[in-house]
Amino acid sequence: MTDLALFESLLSCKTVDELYVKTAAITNRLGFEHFFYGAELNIAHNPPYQFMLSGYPVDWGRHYLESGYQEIDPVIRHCKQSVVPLLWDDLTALQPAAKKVMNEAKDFGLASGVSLSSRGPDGGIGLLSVTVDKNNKQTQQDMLHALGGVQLLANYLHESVRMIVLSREVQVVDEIQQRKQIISRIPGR
Amino acid sequence: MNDLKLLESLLNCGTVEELHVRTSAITKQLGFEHFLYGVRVNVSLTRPYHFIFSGYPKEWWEHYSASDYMNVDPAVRHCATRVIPVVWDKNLFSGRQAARIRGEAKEFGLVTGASYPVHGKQGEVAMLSLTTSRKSREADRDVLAAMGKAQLFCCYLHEAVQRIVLSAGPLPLRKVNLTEREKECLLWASEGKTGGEVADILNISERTVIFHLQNASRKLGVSTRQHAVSRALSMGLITP
Repeated sequence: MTDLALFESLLSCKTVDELYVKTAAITNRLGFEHFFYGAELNIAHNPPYQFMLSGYPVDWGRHYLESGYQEIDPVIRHCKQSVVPLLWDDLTALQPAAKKVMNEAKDFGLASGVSLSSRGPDGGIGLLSVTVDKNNKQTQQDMLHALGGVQLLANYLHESVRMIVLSREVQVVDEIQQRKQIISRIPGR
Repeated sequence: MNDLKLLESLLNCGTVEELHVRTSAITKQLGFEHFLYGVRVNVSLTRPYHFIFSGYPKEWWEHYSASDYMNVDPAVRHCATRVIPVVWDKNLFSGRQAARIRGEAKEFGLVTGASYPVHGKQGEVAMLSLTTSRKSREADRDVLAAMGKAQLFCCYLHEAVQRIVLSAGPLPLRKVNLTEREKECLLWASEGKTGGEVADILNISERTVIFHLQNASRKLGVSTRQHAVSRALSMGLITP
């Protein structure tokens, strides 16, 4: 289950597409259907480099962004505050807006999930969510069982993205300066 | 499943002593014998604050600290610069000095082990090392199998330390609330801009810039502009 070689294979990814395929495979191997990974890395004195790898249903991703849910998503709030994982089912006493986000996620097939963050030495942060289609006692138990693996996935993903981004740091900085905009990438599915 | 309850129990500890007892128990539960947790908070770049929580054999820990091994220990360096855990193997402890530390650790019963990093939101860096005196292929396999749980353990432990140690006293993670304007002024000051230049960029008067920088300095407990910039950066209050 937590075969380290599986996670280490992320470190040898040279391209974002390769990273995407491996992340999807590990997500499934850990017993989850969908994943979302977002990171913000600091590069010198430039705007943070934003990076996204979405294995969420495309419709949900579009709806989420169009509705500006990143501003009210309780999962994001938790991950910015805490270094421990959040089980979605533990989200109680939510504000109506936050509750709406979580309920709509369910409608799009993200029945339950777990989210966690990892931070890097340069102040960057990565956020990983993995989700299941069904939610019952068994899936909750399975998620808890897989939690260590999910934490490792978050850490190894963060490290791989750092390596990929830092290796082309100069290029990225150039792009930012030329286009004055943040680069992001959402491979579709 | 019970594992998570166990880890979550760390968050309910009210004192360092209680945390130590629980940490020792979880260390054993995960199949290890000894642990060391340490965190460095960059309240000042020349004199960072350290909090260390040792479950190492007393003699080894005394020897390790007295010899200043922390400054040369490759596991410490790994955790300060990386996001992933590391197993204590020959690759990690390469070089004569590192190999010597490793050899001595073994004599004190720290034969097989691994270290796990956690970086916090205020730029603090923490690490947990877990060790066992077992030396076998099976022991190596157990360390690998426990990798995920142990990394989680480190996250929960850091969260607990953050709550009862780092956020508690006057230092080091006392909450400093800088206003957006104060942050903007500090950020441009960090780029070497003068008060007048910052005023031009932000389209406010130089007197207002000075006002914001003085307020920021007061909140950060420092008296000069350069000191305010370096402290704000080291504490992660302003980011690029």
